[in-house]
Amino acid sequence: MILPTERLGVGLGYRPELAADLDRYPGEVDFLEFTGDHCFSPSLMAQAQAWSRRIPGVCHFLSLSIGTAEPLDPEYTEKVGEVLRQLGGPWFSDHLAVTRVQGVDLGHLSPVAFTEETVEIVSRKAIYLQERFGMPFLLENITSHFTLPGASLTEWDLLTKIVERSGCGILLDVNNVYVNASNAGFDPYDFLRGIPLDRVLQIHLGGAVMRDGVMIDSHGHPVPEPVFDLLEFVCDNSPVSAILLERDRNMPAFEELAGDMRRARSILDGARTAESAPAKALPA
Amino acid sequence: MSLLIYQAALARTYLDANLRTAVRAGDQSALAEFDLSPDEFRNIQQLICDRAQEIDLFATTLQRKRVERLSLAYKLLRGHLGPNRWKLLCDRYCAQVTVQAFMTPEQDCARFGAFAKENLDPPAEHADRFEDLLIFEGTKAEVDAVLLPQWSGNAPSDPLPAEARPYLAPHARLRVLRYLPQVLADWANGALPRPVPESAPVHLIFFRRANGADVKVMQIGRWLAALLDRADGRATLPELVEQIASLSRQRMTLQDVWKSMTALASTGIIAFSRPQGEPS
Ligand SMILES: [Fe+2]
Repeated sequence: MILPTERLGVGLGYRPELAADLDRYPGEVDFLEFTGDHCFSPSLMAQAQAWSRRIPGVCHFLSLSIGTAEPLDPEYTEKVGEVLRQLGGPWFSDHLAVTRVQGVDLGHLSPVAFTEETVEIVSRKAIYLQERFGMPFLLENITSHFTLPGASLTEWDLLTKIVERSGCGILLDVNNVYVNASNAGFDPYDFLRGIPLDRVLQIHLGGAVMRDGVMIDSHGHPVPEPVFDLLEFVCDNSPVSAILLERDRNMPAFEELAGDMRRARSILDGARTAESAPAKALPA
Repeated sequence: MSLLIYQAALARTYLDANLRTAVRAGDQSALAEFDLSPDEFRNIQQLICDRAQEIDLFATTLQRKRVERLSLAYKLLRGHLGPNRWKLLCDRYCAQVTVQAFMTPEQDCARFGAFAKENLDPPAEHADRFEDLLIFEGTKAEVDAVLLPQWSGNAPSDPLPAEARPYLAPHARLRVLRYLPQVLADWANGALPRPVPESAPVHLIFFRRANGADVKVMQIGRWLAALLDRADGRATLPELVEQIASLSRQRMTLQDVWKSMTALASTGIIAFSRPQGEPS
Protein backbone atom coordinates (compact mmCIF):
# COMPACT_ATOMS: atom_id res chain seq x y z
CA MET A 1 0.00 0.00 0.00
CA ILE A 2 1.28 3.49 -0.86
CA LEU A 3 1.93 5.43 2.31
CA PRO A 4 0.68 9.01 2.65
CA THR A 5 3.25 11.80 2.55
CA GLU A 6 1.36 14.68 4.15
CA ARG A 7 2.88 16.01 7.34
CA LEU A 8 0.84 15.81 10.52
CA GLY A 9 3.40 17.39 12.86
CA VAL A 10 3.67 16.85 16.60
CA GLY A 11 0.75 15.68 18.69
CA LEU A 12 -0.58 14.22 21.90
CA GLY A 13 -2.74 11.26 22.82
CA TYR A 14 -6.27 12.49 23.40
CA ARG A 15 -7.70 12.24 26.90
CA PRO A 16 -10.71 14.15 28.21
CA GLU A 17 -8.56 15.95 30.84
CA LEU A 18 -6.60 17.57 28.01
CA ALA A 19 -9.62 19.36 26.55
CA ALA A 20 -9.17 22.60 28.52
CA ASP A 21 -5.50 22.91 27.54
CA LEU A 22 -6.25 22.13 23.90
CA ASP A 23 -8.66 25.06 23.99
CA ARG A 24 -6.27 27.33 25.87
CA TYR A 25 -3.23 26.66 23.67
CA PRO A 26 -4.51 26.46 20.10
CA GLY A 27 -1.79 25.59 17.63
CA GLU A 28 0.46 23.82 20.16
CA VAL A 29 -0.91 20.39 19.22
CA ASP A 30 -0.78 19.60 15.50
CA PHE A 31 -2.68 16.33 15.72
CA LEU A 32 -4.36 14.03 18.23
CA GLU A 33 -3.97 10.30 18.56
CA PHE A 34 -7.23 8.68 19.62
CA THR A 35 -7.00 5.37 21.43
CA GLY A 36 -9.48 3.47 19.32
CA ASP A 37 -10.47 1.15 22.17
CA HIS A 38 -11.61 4.12 24.26
CA CYS A 39 -13.79 5.26 21.37
CA PHE A 40 -15.89 2.10 21.70
CA SER A 41 -17.63 4.15 24.40
CA PRO A 42 -20.24 6.38 22.74
CA SER A 43 -19.42 9.35 24.97
CA LEU A 44 -15.70 9.24 24.18
CA MET A 45 -16.48 8.69 20.52
CA ALA A 46 -18.59 11.86 20.56
CA GLN A 47 -15.69 13.81 22.10
CA ALA A 48 -13.21 12.34 19.60
CA GLN A 49 -15.49 13.26 16.70
CA ALA A 50 -15.85 16.81 17.95
CA TRP A 51 -12.07 17.21 18.35
CA SER A 52 -11.27 15.57 15.04
CA ARG A 53 -13.25 18.32 13.33
CA ARG A 54 -10.83 20.86 14.85
CA ILE A 55 -7.50 19.01 14.91
CA PRO A 56 -6.40 16.19 12.58
CA GLY A 57 -6.53 12.78 14.25
CA VAL A 58 -5.17 9.26 13.91
CA CYS A 59 -6.52 6.10 15.55
CA HIS A 60 -4.31 3.81 17.60
CA PHE A 61 -5.61 0.44 18.84
CA LEU A 62 -4.51 -1.81 21.68
CA SER A 63 -6.06 -5.21 21.22
CA LEU A 64 -6.01 -6.52 17.67
CA SER A 65 -3.49 -8.99 19.11
CA ILE A 66 -1.98 -9.35 15.67
CA GLY A 67 0.70 -11.74 16.91
CA THR A 68 -1.70 -14.40 18.17
CA ALA A 69 -1.68 -17.59 16.11
CA GLU A 70 -5.44 -17.50 15.59
CA PRO A 71 -7.68 -15.32 13.42
CA LEU A 72 -8.45 -11.73 14.38
CA ASP A 73 -11.36 -11.45 16.78
CA PRO A 74 -14.28 -10.67 14.44
CA GLU A 75 -16.20 -8.62 17.00
CA TYR A 76 -13.19 -6.50 17.93
CA THR A 77 -12.23 -6.03 14.27
CA GLU A 78 -15.77 -4.90 13.50
CA LYS A 79 -15.50 -2.29 16.26
CA VAL A 80 -12.16 -1.12 14.84
CA GLY A 81 -13.88 -0.64 11.49
CA GLU A 82 -16.68 1.35 13.10
CA VAL A 83 -14.18 3.69 14.81
CA LEU A 84 -12.29 4.16 11.54
CA ARG A 85 -15.52 4.88 9.67
CA GLN A 86 -16.40 7.57 12.19
CA LEU A 87 -12.99 9.14 12.77
CA GLY A 88 -11.11 8.41 9.53
CA GLY A 89 -7.46 9.48 9.48
CA PRO A 90 -4.46 8.93 7.21
CA TRP A 91 -3.66 5.53 8.80
CA PHE A 92 -4.37 3.38 11.86
CA SER A 93 -2.04 1.41 14.08
CA ASP A 94 -1.65 -1.31 16.69
CA HIS A 95 1.22 -3.15 18.35
CA LEU A 96 3.35 -6.06 17.23
CA ALA A 97 2.20 -8.10 20.20
CA VAL A 98 -0.06 -10.72 21.71
CA THR A 99 -2.78 -9.35 23.98
CA ARG A 100 -5.39 -12.08 23.70
CA VAL A 101 -5.21 -15.77 23.11
CA GLN A 102 -8.01 -18.33 23.09
CA GLY A 103 -10.35 -15.88 24.79
CA VAL A 104 -7.88 -14.94 27.54
CA ASP A 105 -7.39 -11.19 27.66
CA LEU A 106 -3.98 -10.28 29.10
CA GLY A 107 -4.97 -6.62 29.28
CA HIS A 108 -1.46 -5.70 28.17
CA LEU A 109 1.05 -6.27 25.37
CA SER A 110 3.09 -9.47 25.51
CA PRO A 111 5.97 -10.31 23.18
CA VAL A 112 5.77 -12.39 20.02
CA ALA A 113 8.36 -15.02 19.08
CA PHE A 114 10.98 -13.66 16.67
CA THR A 115 10.43 -16.37 14.06
CA GLU A 116 9.39 -16.85 10.44
CA GLU A 117 6.09 -18.26 11.69
CA THR A 118 5.33 -14.93 13.37
CA VAL A 119 6.26 -13.09 10.15
CA GLU A 120 3.73 -15.22 8.32
CA ILE A 121 0.94 -14.80 10.89
CA VAL A 122 1.33 -11.05 11.31
CA SER A 123 1.83 -10.29 7.61
CA ARG A 124 -1.36 -12.13 6.66
CA LYS A 125 -3.35 -10.13 9.17
CA ALA A 126 -1.75 -6.79 8.23
CA ILE A 127 -2.62 -7.39 4.57
CA TYR A 128 -6.17 -8.28 5.53
CA LEU A 129 -6.58 -5.17 7.71
CA GLN A 130 -5.27 -2.81 5.03
CA GLU A 131 -7.54 -4.35 2.41
CA ARG A 132 -10.58 -4.43 4.63
CA PHE A 133 -10.30 -0.84 5.82
CA GLY A 134 -8.64 0.64 2.72
CA MET A 135 -6.19 2.52 4.89
CA PRO A 136 -2.48 2.06 5.67
CA PHE A 137 -1.85 0.04 8.80
CA LEU A 138 1.19 0.81 10.98
CA LEU A 139 2.78 -1.69 13.36
CA GLU A 140 4.33 -0.42 16.56
CA ASN A 141 7.34 -2.06 18.22
CA ILE A 142 6.77 -2.82 21.92
CA THR A 143 8.97 -3.11 25.00
CA SER A 144 9.59 -6.49 26.47
CA HIS A 145 11.78 -7.61 29.32
CA PHE A 146 12.38 -11.02 27.82
CA THR A 147 12.45 -12.72 24.44
CA LEU A 148 10.76 -16.03 23.82
CA PRO A 149 13.09 -18.98 23.20
CA GLY A 150 13.66 -20.31 19.70
CA ALA A 151 14.19 -16.90 18.08
CA SER A 152 15.65 -17.17 14.59
CA LEU A 153 15.46 -13.43 13.90
CA THR A 154 16.33 -10.21 15.68
CA GLU A 155 13.48 -7.91 16.62
CA TRP A 156 14.36 -5.53 13.77
CA ASP A 157 14.62 -8.38 11.23
CA LEU A 158 11.19 -9.56 12.29
CA LEU A 159 9.68 -6.09 11.83
CA THR A 160 11.46 -5.63 8.50
CA LYS A 161 10.22 -8.94 7.11
CA ILE A 162 6.65 -8.22 8.14
CA VAL A 163 6.75 -4.76 6.59
CA GLU A 164 8.28 -6.08 3.37
CA ARG A 165 5.82 -8.95 3.10
CA SER A 166 2.66 -7.08 4.00
CA GLY A 167 3.37 -3.56 2.73
CA CYS A 168 2.31 -2.07 6.04
CA GLY A 169 4.04 0.91 7.64
CA ILE A 170 5.83 1.39 10.94
CA LEU A 171 4.87 3.33 14.01
CA LEU A 172 8.31 3.51 15.53
CA ASP A 173 8.36 3.92 19.28
CA VAL A 174 11.88 5.27 19.76
CA ASN A 175 11.52 5.04 23.51
CA ASN A 176 10.72 1.33 23.23
CA VAL A 177 13.83 0.84 21.09
CA TYR A 178 15.86 2.62 23.78
CA VAL A 179 14.30 0.56 26.59
CA ASN A 180 14.78 -2.81 24.85
CA ALA A 181 18.32 -1.89 23.86
CA SER A 182 19.16 -0.90 27.45
CA ASN A 183 17.70 -4.09 28.91
CA ALA A 184 18.86 -6.58 26.29
CA GLY A 185 22.22 -4.90 25.73
CA PHE A 186 22.05 -4.18 22.00
CA ASP A 187 22.86 -0.94 20.19
CA PRO A 188 19.62 0.98 19.49
CA TYR A 189 21.17 2.24 16.24
CA ASP A 190 21.51 -1.39 15.08
CA PHE A 191 17.72 -1.56 15.39
CA LEU A 192 17.25 1.70 13.47
CA ARG A 193 19.75 0.75 10.77
CA GLY A 194 18.07 -2.65 10.49
CA ILE A 195 14.53 -1.54 9.65
CA PRO A 196 13.21 0.08 6.47
CA LEU A 197 13.13 3.67 7.74
CA ASP A 198 11.30 4.73 4.58
CA ARG A 199 8.23 2.95 6.04
CA VAL A 200 8.24 4.94 9.30
CA LEU A 201 5.31 7.36 9.23
CA GLN A 202 4.71 7.96 12.89
CA ILE A 203 6.88 8.06 15.96
CA HIS A 204 6.05 7.57 19.61
CA LEU A 205 8.26 9.59 21.90
CA GLY A 206 8.03 8.90 25.62
CA GLY A 207 9.76 8.76 28.96
CA ALA A 208 11.66 5.92 30.57
CA VAL A 209 12.95 5.29 34.04
CA MET A 210 15.37 2.82 35.61
CA ARG A 211 13.76 0.69 38.34
CA ASP A 212 15.60 -2.11 40.16
CA GLY A 213 18.19 -2.25 37.41
CA VAL A 214 15.56 -2.57 34.69
CA MET A 215 14.65 0.20 32.23
CA ILE A 216 10.86 0.75 32.14
CA ASP A 217 8.84 2.66 29.55
CA SER A 218 6.97 4.68 32.11
CA HIS A 219 4.91 7.07 29.97
CA GLY A 220 5.22 9.22 33.05
CA HIS A 221 8.69 10.76 32.92
CA PRO A 222 10.40 13.33 30.70
CA VAL A 223 11.93 12.09 27.46
CA PRO A 224 15.56 11.05 28.11
CA GLU A 225 18.27 12.78 26.05
CA PRO A 226 19.37 9.59 24.23
CA VAL A 227 15.77 9.16 23.05
CA PHE A 228 15.82 12.63 21.50
CA ASP A 229 19.05 11.60 19.74
CA LEU A 230 17.29 8.51 18.34
CA LEU A 231 14.41 10.72 17.22
CA GLU A 232 16.76 13.03 15.39
CA PHE A 233 18.42 10.13 13.65
CA VAL A 234 15.09 8.69 12.51
CA CYS A 235 13.76 12.05 11.31
CA ASP A 236 16.93 12.62 9.29
CA ASN A 237 16.57 9.27 7.58
CA SER A 238 12.86 8.64 7.13
CA PRO A 239 9.69 10.34 5.82
CA VAL A 240 8.26 10.79 9.33
CA SER A 241 4.92 12.56 9.17
CA ALA A 242 3.88 12.56 12.81
CA ILE A 243 5.54 12.54 16.21
CA LEU A 244 3.39 11.72 19.21
CA LEU A 245 4.52 12.64 22.70
CA GLU A 246 3.28 9.79 24.91
CA ARG A 247 2.51 10.85 28.43
CA ASP A 248 -0.27 9.28 30.45
CA ARG A 249 0.94 9.35 34.04
CA ASN A 250 2.39 12.04 36.30
CA MET A 251 0.89 14.57 33.93
CA PRO A 252 2.96 17.76 34.18
CA ALA A 253 1.68 21.27 33.42
CA PHE A 254 0.82 21.66 29.75
CA GLU A 255 3.71 24.10 29.31
CA GLU A 256 6.17 21.30 30.08
CA LEU A 257 4.56 19.01 27.51
CA ALA A 258 4.52 21.88 25.03
CA GLY A 259 8.26 22.35 25.62
CA ASP A 260 9.00 18.73 24.63
CA MET A 261 6.63 19.07 21.68
CA ARG A 262 8.38 22.21 20.44
CA ARG A 263 11.71 20.45 20.68
CA ALA A 264 10.35 17.48 18.71
CA ARG A 265 8.87 19.88 16.15
CA SER A 266 12.16 21.62 15.65
CA ILE A 267 13.82 18.24 15.07
CA LEU A 268 11.13 17.34 12.54
CA ASP A 269 11.41 20.77 10.86
CA GLY A 270 15.19 20.57 10.78
CA ALA A 271 15.01 17.22 9.09
CA ARG A 272 12.55 18.63 6.55
CA THR A 273 14.63 21.66 5.67
CA ALA A 274 17.64 19.40 5.28
CA GLU A 275 15.64 17.05 3.06
CA SER A 276 17.67 17.81 -0.04
CA ALA A 277 20.95 17.50 1.86
CA PRO A 278 22.56 14.08 2.07
CA ALA A 279 21.33 11.91 4.94
CA LYS A 280 23.35 12.21 8.12
CA ALA A 281 26.06 9.67 8.64
CA LEU A 282 24.98 6.78 10.84
CA PRO A 283 26.56 6.87 14.28
CA ALA A 284 29.30 4.30 14.54
CA MET B 1 3.41 -27.98 19.98
CA SER B 2 1.44 -25.53 17.90
CA LEU B 3 2.26 -21.88 18.40
CA LEU B 4 -1.30 -21.25 19.52
CA ILE B 5 -1.11 -23.80 22.34
CA TYR B 6 2.26 -22.40 23.35
CA GLN B 7 0.84 -18.86 23.44
CA ALA B 8 -2.21 -19.99 25.41
CA ALA B 9 -0.09 -21.84 27.99
CA LEU B 10 2.21 -18.85 28.32
CA ALA B 11 -0.73 -16.48 28.77
CA ARG B 12 -1.95 -18.61 31.64
CA THR B 13 1.44 -18.66 33.29
CA TYR B 14 1.79 -14.87 32.96
CA LEU B 15 -1.53 -14.40 34.71
CA ASP B 16 -1.29 -16.92 37.52
CA ALA B 17 1.48 -16.74 40.13
CA ASN B 18 0.48 -20.09 41.69
CA LEU B 19 0.65 -21.73 38.30
CA ARG B 20 4.13 -20.30 37.71
CA THR B 21 5.29 -21.69 41.03
CA ALA B 22 3.89 -25.12 40.15
CA VAL B 23 5.47 -25.14 36.68
CA ARG B 24 8.82 -24.05 38.10
CA ALA B 25 8.60 -26.96 40.53
CA GLY B 26 8.04 -29.30 37.58
CA ASP B 27 4.38 -30.06 38.29
CA GLN B 28 3.19 -31.04 34.81
CA SER B 29 -0.44 -31.27 35.91
CA ALA B 30 -0.44 -27.47 36.28
CA LEU B 31 -0.67 -27.15 32.50
CA ALA B 32 -2.66 -30.37 31.97
CA GLU B 33 -5.43 -28.60 30.02
CA PHE B 34 -2.95 -27.87 27.21
CA ASP B 35 -2.06 -31.51 26.66
CA LEU B 36 1.67 -30.84 26.42
CA SER B 37 4.25 -33.54 25.88
CA PRO B 38 6.99 -33.75 28.55
CA ASP B 39 9.35 -31.91 26.15
CA GLU B 40 6.86 -29.16 25.49
CA PHE B 41 6.26 -28.74 29.21
CA ARG B 42 10.01 -28.52 29.80
CA ASN B 43 10.27 -25.83 27.11
CA ILE B 44 7.83 -23.60 29.02
CA GLN B 45 9.30 -24.56 32.37
CA GLN B 46 12.74 -23.58 31.14
CA LEU B 47 11.57 -20.17 29.95
CA ILE B 48 9.87 -19.25 33.19
CA CYS B 49 12.81 -20.56 35.24
CA ASP B 50 15.58 -19.03 33.13
CA ARG B 51 13.83 -15.67 32.84
CA ALA B 52 12.12 -15.87 36.22
CA GLN B 53 12.82 -12.28 37.25
CA GLU B 54 11.74 -10.79 33.93
CA ILE B 55 8.59 -12.91 33.69
CA ASP B 56 7.61 -12.05 37.25
CA LEU B 57 8.18 -8.39 36.47
CA PHE B 58 5.95 -8.72 33.42
CA ALA B 59 3.32 -10.52 35.52
CA THR B 60 3.47 -7.63 37.98
CA THR B 61 2.77 -5.22 35.12
CA LEU B 62 -0.25 -7.28 34.06
CA GLN B 63 -1.55 -7.23 37.62
CA ARG B 64 -0.90 -3.49 37.94
CA LYS B 65 -3.00 -2.87 34.82
CA ARG B 66 -5.73 -5.09 36.24
CA VAL B 67 -5.70 -3.23 39.55
CA GLU B 68 -5.79 0.11 37.71
CA ARG B 69 -9.07 -0.91 36.13
CA LEU B 70 -10.43 -2.00 39.51
CA SER B 71 -9.31 1.31 41.01
CA LEU B 72 -11.29 3.20 38.37
CA ALA B 73 -14.41 1.13 38.96
CA TYR B 74 -14.18 1.29 42.77
CA LYS B 75 -12.91 4.81 43.36
CA LEU B 76 -15.00 5.36 46.48
CA LEU B 77 -14.15 2.03 48.05
CA ARG B 78 -10.46 2.56 47.38
CA GLY B 79 -10.66 6.03 48.93
CA HIS B 80 -12.20 4.67 52.09
CA LEU B 81 -9.94 1.69 52.51
CA GLY B 82 -6.80 3.75 52.01
CA PRO B 83 -3.82 2.59 49.93
CA ASN B 84 -2.65 -0.27 52.17
CA ARG B 85 -5.97 -2.02 52.74
CA TRP B 86 -6.92 -1.46 49.09
CA LYS B 87 -3.67 -3.06 47.94
CA LEU B 88 -4.15 -6.02 50.27
CA LEU B 89 -7.68 -6.59 49.00
CA CYS B 90 -6.58 -6.36 45.35
CA ASP B 91 -3.61 -8.67 45.90
CA ARG B 92 -5.86 -11.25 47.52
CA TYR B 93 -8.37 -10.94 44.71
CA CYS B 94 -5.77 -11.29 41.96
CA ALA B 95 -4.24 -14.31 43.71
CA GLN B 96 -7.57 -16.05 44.19
CA VAL B 97 -9.41 -15.05 41.02
CA THR B 98 -7.26 -15.44 37.94
CA VAL B 99 -8.32 -14.04 34.57
CA GLN B 100 -10.15 -16.77 32.69
CA ALA B 101 -10.98 -17.22 29.02
CA PHE B 102 -13.76 -14.92 27.80
CA MET B 103 -13.70 -12.95 31.05
CA THR B 104 -13.91 -9.31 29.96
CA PRO B 105 -12.27 -6.55 32.02
CA GLU B 106 -15.79 -5.39 32.92
CA GLN B 107 -16.71 -8.86 34.14
CA ASP B 108 -13.51 -8.87 36.19
CA CYS B 109 -14.60 -5.62 37.85
CA ALA B 110 -18.07 -7.03 38.56
CA ARG B 111 -16.55 -10.15 40.07
CA PHE B 112 -14.32 -8.02 42.29
CA GLY B 113 -17.43 -6.40 43.77
CA ALA B 114 -18.73 -9.79 44.89
CA PHE B 115 -15.30 -10.74 46.21
CA ALA B 116 -14.98 -7.50 48.18
CA LYS B 117 -18.42 -8.04 49.70
CA GLU B 118 -17.41 -11.45 50.99
CA ASN B 119 -13.91 -10.56 52.07
CA LEU B 120 -14.15 -7.08 53.51
CA ASP B 121 -14.44 -6.81 57.21
CA PRO B 122 -15.27 -3.14 57.71
CA PRO B 123 -15.27 -1.56 61.17
CA ALA B 124 -18.68 -2.06 62.80
CA GLU B 125 -19.43 1.67 63.00
CA HIS B 126 -19.10 1.94 59.22
CA ALA B 127 -20.52 -1.44 58.23
CA ASP B 128 -23.75 -0.10 56.71
CA ARG B 129 -21.90 2.60 54.79
CA PHE B 130 -19.48 0.11 53.32
CA GLU B 131 -22.40 -2.12 52.42
CA ASP B 132 -24.05 0.71 50.48
CA LEU B 133 -20.77 1.69 48.88
CA LEU B 134 -20.30 -1.84 47.60
CA ILE B 135 -23.88 -2.05 46.38
CA PHE B 136 -23.41 1.25 44.56
CA GLU B 137 -20.04 0.60 42.89
CA GLY B 138 -20.59 -3.16 42.56
CA THR B 139 -23.91 -2.68 40.75
CA LYS B 140 -22.35 -0.14 38.41
CA ALA B 141 -19.65 -2.68 37.58
CA GLU B 142 -22.27 -5.42 37.18
CA VAL B 143 -24.33 -3.35 34.74
CA ASP B 144 -21.17 -2.38 32.87
CA ALA B 145 -20.34 -6.06 32.41
CA VAL B 146 -23.63 -6.97 30.72
CA LEU B 147 -22.99 -7.67 27.06
CA LEU B 148 -25.47 -5.77 24.93
CA PRO B 149 -24.67 -6.47 21.32
CA GLN B 150 -28.18 -7.09 20.08
CA TRP B 151 -30.64 -6.34 22.86
CA SER B 152 -32.98 -3.54 21.97
CA GLY B 153 -36.14 -4.51 23.85
CA ASN B 154 -39.62 -4.04 22.53
CA ALA B 155 -40.40 -0.49 21.58
CA PRO B 156 -43.76 0.36 23.11
CA SER B 157 -46.50 1.20 20.70
CA ASP B 158 -48.30 4.45 21.27
CA PRO B 159 -50.74 4.17 22.94
CA LEU B 160 -49.58 1.13 24.92
CA PRO B 161 -52.00 -1.77 24.60
CA ALA B 162 -53.83 -2.43 27.87
CA GLU B 163 -52.25 -5.90 28.03
CA ALA B 164 -48.67 -4.63 27.79
CA ARG B 165 -46.57 -6.43 30.42
CA PRO B 166 -43.44 -4.49 31.43
CA TYR B 167 -40.20 -6.03 32.60
CA LEU B 168 -36.84 -4.64 33.62
CA ALA B 169 -34.26 -4.80 30.80
CA PRO B 170 -31.33 -7.20 31.24
CA HIS B 171 -28.90 -4.29 31.59
CA ALA B 172 -30.91 -2.47 34.27
CA ARG B 173 -30.78 -3.08 38.02
CA LEU B 174 -32.96 -1.80 40.80
CA ARG B 175 -31.28 -1.20 44.18
CA VAL B 176 -32.22 0.24 47.57
CA LEU B 177 -29.70 2.22 49.62
CA ARG B 178 -29.74 3.94 52.99
CA TYR B 179 -27.32 6.63 51.85
CA LEU B 180 -27.64 8.94 48.89
CA PRO B 181 -24.82 8.34 46.34
CA GLN B 182 -23.70 11.95 46.72
CA VAL B 183 -23.43 11.48 50.47
CA LEU B 184 -21.29 8.38 49.94
CA ALA B 185 -19.04 10.37 47.62
CA ASP B 186 -18.75 13.21 50.17
CA TRP B 187 -17.74 10.66 52.77
CA ALA B 188 -14.52 10.22 50.83
CA ASN B 189 -13.85 13.92 51.39
CA GLY B 190 -14.23 13.63 55.13
CA ALA B 191 -17.91 14.39 55.65
CA LEU B 192 -19.69 11.99 57.97
CA PRO B 193 -22.55 10.53 55.96
CA ARG B 194 -26.04 10.52 57.42
CA PRO B 195 -28.51 7.90 56.29
CA VAL B 196 -31.90 8.83 54.96
CA PRO B 197 -34.83 8.05 57.28
CA GLU B 198 -35.58 4.35 57.38
CA SER B 199 -39.10 5.03 56.16
CA ALA B 200 -37.82 6.66 52.94
CA PRO B 201 -34.92 4.65 51.50
CA VAL B 202 -33.10 5.66 48.30
CA HIS B 203 -34.35 3.77 45.22
CA LEU B 204 -31.94 3.72 42.29
CA ILE B 205 -31.99 2.34 38.77
CA PHE B 206 -28.62 1.51 37.20
CA PHE B 207 -28.68 1.21 33.41
CA ARG B 208 -26.83 1.72 30.15
CA ARG B 209 -28.24 3.07 26.93
CA ALA B 210 -25.98 1.18 24.51
CA ASN B 211 -23.10 -1.21 24.38
CA GLY B 212 -20.00 0.62 25.58
CA ALA B 213 -21.97 3.50 27.09
CA ASP B 214 -21.29 4.64 30.64
CA VAL B 215 -23.53 3.32 33.39
CA LYS B 216 -26.17 5.84 34.46
CA VAL B 217 -27.77 5.94 37.87
CA MET B 218 -31.22 7.44 38.31
CA GLN B 219 -33.09 7.98 41.54
CA ILE B 220 -36.77 7.06 41.40
CA GLY B 221 -39.74 7.32 43.72
CA ARG B 222 -40.99 4.64 46.05
CA TRP B 223 -44.08 3.68 44.13
CA LEU B 224 -42.26 3.43 40.82
CA ALA B 225 -39.58 1.29 42.48
CA ALA B 226 -42.26 -0.98 43.89
CA LEU B 227 -43.87 -1.23 40.50
CA LEU B 228 -40.60 -2.04 38.72
CA ASP B 229 -39.78 -4.56 41.41
CA ARG B 230 -42.93 -6.43 40.47
CA ALA B 231 -42.59 -5.90 36.70
CA ASP B 232 -41.68 -9.39 35.59
CA GLY B 233 -43.21 -9.41 32.12
CA ARG B 234 -46.25 -11.33 33.37
CA ALA B 235 -48.42 -8.72 35.06
CA THR B 236 -50.21 -6.06 33.02
CA LEU B 237 -49.98 -2.41 34.00
CA PRO B 238 -53.46 -2.28 35.57
CA GLU B 239 -52.55 -5.38 37.59
CA LEU B 240 -49.31 -3.78 38.76
CA VAL B 241 -51.12 -0.56 39.70
CA GLU B 242 -53.54 -2.62 41.72
CA GLN B 243 -50.68 -4.43 43.48
CA ILE B 244 -49.00 -1.22 44.61
CA ALA B 245 -52.18 0.70 45.43
CA SER B 246 -51.65 0.24 49.15
CA LEU B 247 -48.22 1.93 49.02
CA SER B 248 -49.54 5.33 48.09
CA ARG B 249 -52.05 7.31 50.03
CA GLN B 250 -53.02 8.91 46.78
CA ARG B 251 -53.96 6.12 44.46
CA MET B 252 -51.79 6.25 41.32
CA THR B 253 -53.82 6.66 38.21
CA LEU B 254 -53.18 4.31 35.37
CA GLN B 255 -52.39 7.36 33.27
CA ASP B 256 -49.52 8.42 35.58
CA VAL B 257 -48.05 4.96 35.46
CA TRP B 258 -48.49 4.89 31.70
CA LYS B 259 -46.48 8.09 31.36
CA SER B 260 -43.64 6.90 33.57
CA MET B 261 -43.49 3.54 31.84
CA THR B 262 -43.34 5.13 28.42
CA ALA B 263 -40.49 7.38 29.58
CA LEU B 264 -38.59 4.41 31.03
CA ALA B 265 -39.18 2.39 27.87
CA SER B 266 -37.73 5.18 25.73
CA THR B 267 -34.44 4.97 27.69
CA GLY B 268 -34.44 1.18 27.34
CA ILE B 269 -34.83 0.56 31.09
CA ILE B 270 -37.95 -1.48 30.60
CA ALA B 271 -39.42 -3.42 27.74
CA PHE B 272 -42.82 -5.00 27.20
CA SER B 273 -43.54 -8.61 26.58
CA ARG B 274 -46.05 -9.38 23.91
CA PRO B 275 -49.63 -9.62 25.14
CA GLN B 276 -50.28 -13.00 26.73
CA GLY B 277 -46.70 -13.95 25.97
CA GLU B 278 -43.60 -14.60 27.98
CA PRO B 279 -40.92 -11.91 28.04
CA SER B 280 -39.24 -11.89 24.64
FE1 LIG C 1 4.08 3.67 22.04
